[in-house]
Amino acid sequence: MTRWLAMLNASLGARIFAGFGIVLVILAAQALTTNLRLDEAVANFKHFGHLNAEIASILDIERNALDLQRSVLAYSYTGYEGMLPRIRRLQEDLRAQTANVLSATPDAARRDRLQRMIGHFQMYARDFETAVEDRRLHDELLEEQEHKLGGFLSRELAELVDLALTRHDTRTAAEAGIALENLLLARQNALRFFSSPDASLIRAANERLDQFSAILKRLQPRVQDSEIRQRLAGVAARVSDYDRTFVGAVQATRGYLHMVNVVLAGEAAEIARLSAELKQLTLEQQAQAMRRMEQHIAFSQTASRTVSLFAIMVGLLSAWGITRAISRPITAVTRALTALARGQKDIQIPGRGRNDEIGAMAIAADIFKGKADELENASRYKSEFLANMSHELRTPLNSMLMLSKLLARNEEGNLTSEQVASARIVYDSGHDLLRLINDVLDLSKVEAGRMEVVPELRTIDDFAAALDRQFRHVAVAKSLAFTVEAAVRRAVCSDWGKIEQIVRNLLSNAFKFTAQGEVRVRIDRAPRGLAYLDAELAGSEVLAIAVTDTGIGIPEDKQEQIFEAFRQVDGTTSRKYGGTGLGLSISRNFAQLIGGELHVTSQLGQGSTFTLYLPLDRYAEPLATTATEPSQAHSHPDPEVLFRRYAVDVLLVDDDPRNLFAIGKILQSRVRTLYTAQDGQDALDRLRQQPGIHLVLMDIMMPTLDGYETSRAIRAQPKFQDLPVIALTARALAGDREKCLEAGASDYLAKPVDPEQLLQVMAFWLERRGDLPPRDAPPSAVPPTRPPEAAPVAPPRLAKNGRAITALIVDSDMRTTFSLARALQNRAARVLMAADGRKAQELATQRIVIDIVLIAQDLPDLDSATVIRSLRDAARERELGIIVLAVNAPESPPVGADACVAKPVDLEGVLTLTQALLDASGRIAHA
Amino acid sequence: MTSRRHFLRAAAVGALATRAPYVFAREPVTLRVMGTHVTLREEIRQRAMADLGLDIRFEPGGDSYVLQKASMHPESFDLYEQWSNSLNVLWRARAIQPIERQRIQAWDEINDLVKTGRLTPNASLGQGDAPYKLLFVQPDGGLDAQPSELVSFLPYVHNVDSFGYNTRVVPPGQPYVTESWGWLLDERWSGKVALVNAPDIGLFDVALAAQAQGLMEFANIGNMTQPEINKLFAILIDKKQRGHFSGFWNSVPESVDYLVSGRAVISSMFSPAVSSLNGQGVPVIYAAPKEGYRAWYGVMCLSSRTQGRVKDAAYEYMNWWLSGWPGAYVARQGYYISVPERSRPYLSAAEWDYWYEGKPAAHDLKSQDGTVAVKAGEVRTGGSYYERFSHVAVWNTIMDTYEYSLPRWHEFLLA
Repeated sequence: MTRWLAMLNASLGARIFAGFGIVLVILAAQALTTNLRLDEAVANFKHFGHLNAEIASILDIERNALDLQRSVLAYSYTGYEGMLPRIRRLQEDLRAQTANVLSATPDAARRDRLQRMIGHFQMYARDFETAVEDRRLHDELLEEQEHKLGGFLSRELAELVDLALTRHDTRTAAEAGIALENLLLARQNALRFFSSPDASLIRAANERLDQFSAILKRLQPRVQDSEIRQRLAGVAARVSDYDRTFVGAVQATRGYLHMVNVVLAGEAAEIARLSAELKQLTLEQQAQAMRRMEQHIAFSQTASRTVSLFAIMVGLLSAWGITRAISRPITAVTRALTALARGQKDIQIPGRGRNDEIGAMAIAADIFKGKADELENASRYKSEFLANMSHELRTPLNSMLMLSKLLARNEEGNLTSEQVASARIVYDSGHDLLRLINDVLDLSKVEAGRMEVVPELRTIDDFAAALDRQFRHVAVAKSLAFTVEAAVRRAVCSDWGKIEQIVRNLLSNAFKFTAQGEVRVRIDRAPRGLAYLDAELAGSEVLAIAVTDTGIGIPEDKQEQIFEAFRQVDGTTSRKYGGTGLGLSISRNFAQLIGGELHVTSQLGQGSTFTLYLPLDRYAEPLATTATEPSQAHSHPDPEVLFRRYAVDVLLVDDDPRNLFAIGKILQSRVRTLYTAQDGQDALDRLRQQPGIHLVLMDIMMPTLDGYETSRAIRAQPKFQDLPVIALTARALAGDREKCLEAGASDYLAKPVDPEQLLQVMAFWLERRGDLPPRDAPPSAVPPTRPPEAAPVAPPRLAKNGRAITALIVDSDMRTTFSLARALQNRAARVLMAADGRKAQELATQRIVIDIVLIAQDLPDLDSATVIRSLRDAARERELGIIVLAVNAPESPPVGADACVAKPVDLEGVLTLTQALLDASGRIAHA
Repeated sequence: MTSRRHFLRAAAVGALATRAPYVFAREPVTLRVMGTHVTLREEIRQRAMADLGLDIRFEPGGDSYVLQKASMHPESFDLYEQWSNSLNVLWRARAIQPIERQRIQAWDEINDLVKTGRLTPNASLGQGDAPYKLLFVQPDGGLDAQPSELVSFLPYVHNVDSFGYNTRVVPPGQPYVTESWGWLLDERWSGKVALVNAPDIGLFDVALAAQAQGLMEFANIGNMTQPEINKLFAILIDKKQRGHFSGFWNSVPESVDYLVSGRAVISSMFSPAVSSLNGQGVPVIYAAPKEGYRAWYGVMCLSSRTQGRVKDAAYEYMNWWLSGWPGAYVARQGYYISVPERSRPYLSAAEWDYWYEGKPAAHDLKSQDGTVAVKAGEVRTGGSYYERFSHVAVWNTIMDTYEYSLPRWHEFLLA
C-alpha cells in the first residue's frame, strides 16, 4: 500500500492513470448495477404481466361461476332438462379454466386456493347431479301421485258416487262425495305445496287424506252392494300408495331445493369467496411486483445519481489534482522560463523540490537558467564593451570623414579628379564604417539594456508619407513598383524613431533583394487570433506594418537565422548585396523593446513579407511630446550667406588635435577668428580672455574638466547666459543629448559631425544672437591657430629585382579593389583588377606576367583556392606572390597562398608584405 | 397411562358382561344401518359386531340423502339413525314401524328428558319439536307425548349445541349470564363469524342471535312465520353484504379449520369440533348462552320392512346401544346418552365428572383419537348434563316455513 502510494507520489502518469481508473471503475460498476437492476425489472415486468393474465382468467371464472349458479337456479325452478348440457359444459369449462390457471401458477398460496376451487367444482358437479336426480324423482312422483293415483282415485270416487246414486244408496253416495271432497282438497293442498312449498300445506293435505281414509274405512263395512264394495276396496288399496308417493314427492322437493339452495349455493359461495381471495392475492402480488419494480427503478435512479455525482466529484477532484499537480507547476515553470528568456534576473525555478516529472523538468530548467545567466553576463560584458568602444571608434572616424569630405569637395580646386575620387571613397568607406558602428552600437545598447523607449504621438498617415518620400527615388532608380497604403488613420503613440528605423531597414532590404516586381508597405490592424510570442500582444489591439517584396525570398530553414546578429542566409549574400547583416537583428530587438514583434513569411524565389506587429495602445498617451531636435526644428538661415556677411569668432574645444584640425579646416575660411582649446580649463581661460566669442563648439569627452562641467561653468557666468554652446559628442548613447542640454548646452551634435549640419546649426544659433559684427569689423586680437599641415610624402615603389611589378587584385568588393589599386598604382608598373574568379583566370591566361596577386578569400563565383591554383598553373615556374585577403584571417595561409591579410586591409601592411614577398621570391620554393 | 389402562380394563369388562346373552345366534345376520357420520363410526361398528356377533353394515350419508332414501325405500335399511326432526317424515311415509318398548331392556332407565321433556321439574321445555312430543305412538296412528307401549324411535344420543369462540380474540364471557347468541351478530366480530350451512339448524342460531340483539321478536321461534323469516333474512343479508360472515361450513372438520386458520373467531359449532380445537391448542369456549341452547335428539328407527331375525338383530343392536360402552364412546365426543348410568362404568371418574357432572377435569382427558381434548382443571362450559338440558331454547325442528326458507338461504349465501 505504502509502496503504491509512493509510486503515486512519484509519477504524474501514475496519478493521472489512477484518477481516470477510479472514475472508470465507478462508471463500470454503475453500468453493471443498472444492468442487473434492469434484468430484475424486466423479470418483474413479466411477472406483472403474468399476474394480469391470471386476474383476467379469475374474472372469467367468476363470471362463468355466476352464470352456472344462475342456470342451476333456473333449472331448479323450471325443471327444463334442455338446460342440463349447458350447465354440465359450464362446469367442465370452469374446472378446465381453473386447472389451466393452476398449471401456470407457481405461488403456493394461490395454488392452494385454486386446488380448493377445483375441489369445490367437483363437489358442485356431484351435488348438482344429485339435485337433478331429486328433481327427476320429484317430477316422476308428482306425475305418479297427482296424475295417475290422484286422477284414478278422484275418478273412482266420482263414479262410486254415481253408482251409489243409481243404486239409490244415497248415504253411500253422500259419504263418497265427502270423501271425494277431502281427496280433492288434499290434492289441492299438495299441488299448492309443489308450486309454493310450505309444510303447513302438507299437514293440511295429510289431514284431508286422513279424513278421506277414515271415511273410506267407515264406509266399507256398511256397503251392501258388492260392486260398490269391491270398487271401494280398490280405492282404499291405492290410498296408501298415494300417501307414500306424496311423502316421497315432498321429500324429493325438499331434497332438490336443499341441494340447490343450500349445498350448491354453499359451494358457489365458497367458490366465489376463494376466487375473491385469489383475486386479492394476485392483486397483492401484482402490487408487490409493482413495488419491487418501483424500488428497483428508484434504486437504479439513486445509484445512478449517486455514482454520477461521485464520478463527477472524483473527476473534478482528479482534474483539480492534475491541474494542481501538473498544470500549475508547468505554468509556473513556463512563467519562470519566459521571464528568464526576457532577461529578468533573480528568477527562482519553482518545483525543484518535487520528485516527479515536473521536479525533473524544474531541475533541468534550473541548469538551463545557470547557463542562460552565464550567457547573459557574457553578452552584457560584450555589449558594454561595444558601447564604450563606440566612442573610441567614432573619434578618429570623425576627423577622417570630415577631412575626406572636404577633400572630395575640392574647394581649393587643386586636386585631380582621381584625388577627388579617392577622397570620396575614403568618405564612403568611412561612412559605411560609421553605419556599421552605429548598428553594432544599437545592437549592443539593446542587448545591454541601455536603449530607451521614447514614445510620441504620430499619425499613421504622416508616417506613411515619410516612408514614401524616403524610398520613392530608390524605387524609381531600381524600376520597382512601390506602394505605401495605410488602412489605419489614427494617431498612434509609440517610439516612432525606432519604428521608422525598423521599417527603413526592412524597406532597404526589400529594395536590396528585389530585382523586379514591387515593394509594398501596408499598415493595418492585425487580424485577431494570430500567434504571438508575447502573450500580452495576443490580448490587445495590434497594428501590423507589413513590408512585402517580390525578391529572392528566404529558404524556410533560414527564416529564423536571418534575425541573428552577424549572420546572413549564406556567406555570399553580403558580398552580393552588401550590408552588415545586423539590420534585422536590430529591428527585431527594437520591435521587442517597444512591445512588438517582427515576423517573416517568405518563399524562396517568390518574395518575402516582413511584418512588424505593434501594440496599438501600449502607451495610452504620449509621455511627453518629444522636443524635436533643435538642429532640425528651426528654419535654417543659409550658413554661407551668414558667414560671408558677419565676422564670427568661434571657440572650438576638443582634446583630440585631429578633431581640432578637421573642424578647423571646415571653419577656417568661414569664421573671422577660430579659437581652439585642448580642454575645459583651457576653454574657460580662452573665454575669459576673449569674452566676445560668439559661439562655442564643445566636445564632451575630455580629460580633467569635461564638456558638461565646462558648459556649466560657462553658464555660471552671467555674461555667457546667452552664449550659444553647441555640444559635440562621440558618445551616441541614450540620454547624452538631455545631459548636454541640462548642463547648459544650447544644442547638440553627434560625432562624427557632418560639416553641412555643423554649419547649419552654427548659423541658426549665430543668427539668434543678433549682435554679430559685419565682415568689415576688426578681427579678434589673437590670430587663429593654424591647423597643422602634413608634409607630402612620395610613395616608395614596389620592385622585383629592381623591376616595376604587375599586380592583380581579385575582389568582388569594388571599394577594396579600388583602394588597393589606388595604393598600388603609384608603386607598381601595372595594376590589374578582377571582380571575380573567372575574370582573374581569364587575365592569367593572357600571357601577362603577374608578380603579385591580392585575392579575396571569398569570391562570388569560384572558390579562391581554385583560382589560386589556376593562377599558379598559368605562372608555370615563375614566382608569384599570392596574398589572400580574408575577413577572418586564419593562422596559416590558405593552400597555395603565401600570406593572408585580414580585412579591412591595412594598406601599409599590405604594401610591406608585398615588398617582402617580392624580395623573398627567389627563396620561396613551390612544390 | 393410568387413564388409558383404566379405559381398556373397563372396556374389557363391558365386553365380557354384554357378550354372553347373544352368543346363541345360529348364523350371522346382516344388519343394515343407515344414518349420519355422527354415530356411524367404524369403532362402533367393529365393537358392535364383536359384541353381537352380527354382520353390521353402515351406510352413512348426508342428512337429506339418507332421509330421502329412507322415506322412499324402507326396504333399503333395517335401522335408521338420524335426528328427531326427521321422524315425522319417516313416520308419515310409513317407512318405519313402531318399536315395542318392552323389548328395550333399559327402557325404564331412559331419563325423563325424552319422556316428559324435562330432566328437572324447573327446566324449560324448549320451543320446536321437542322429542317427547313425537315419542309415543297413539292409538290413531299419530305420535304424541301420551305414553304408550309403542314408540316411534329409540332415544339414545343427544346434546345441546351453541356456538364456540376463540378466547384469544373474543373475551371469555360468563356462562348463562353474559354469553349470548347475540354475539354472532356482534359488530365487534364482523368478518370473523361463521355459520353452519344448514338452514334447518343454522336458522335457529341466527334467529336466537337476532332476538338476543333485540333486532326482532319471534312469536314462536320453533315455528317461524313467513314474515318473520323475511325480516330475519333482511337483517342477515344486510349483515352479509357488509362482510359480517366469513363463511358457512358444511362439516365438523371444516368448522375446525375455520377456527384454526383464523377465518372465524366465533362460529356455530358442534361439540366434537370444540374438543378437536382445544386439542390443537386453539382456545375455544363452547358458549352457554343465557338465551338457552339449541337442543337435538338422536333417533334410532326400525324400518317398516324389517321383520323376523333381522328385526330381532335390530333390537339386539338397539339394546347394545343402551348397554353402556357406546354411551361412553359418544360421551368422549361430548354427546350424552339417554341412559347415562349404564355408561358410567365405561368412563373414568374424571371423564364422568367432566362430561356429565360439569366438574373440573382431574387430569388431561383424551379424545377418541388419542389427543388431549380436555386439559386438567378445565370445566365443561354450561356445567353438568342436568344444567345444560335445563337451558334449552329450541329443539332442532323442520318448521312449516322450512321450504320457504330455502331460497332465502340461497339468497343469503350468495348475497
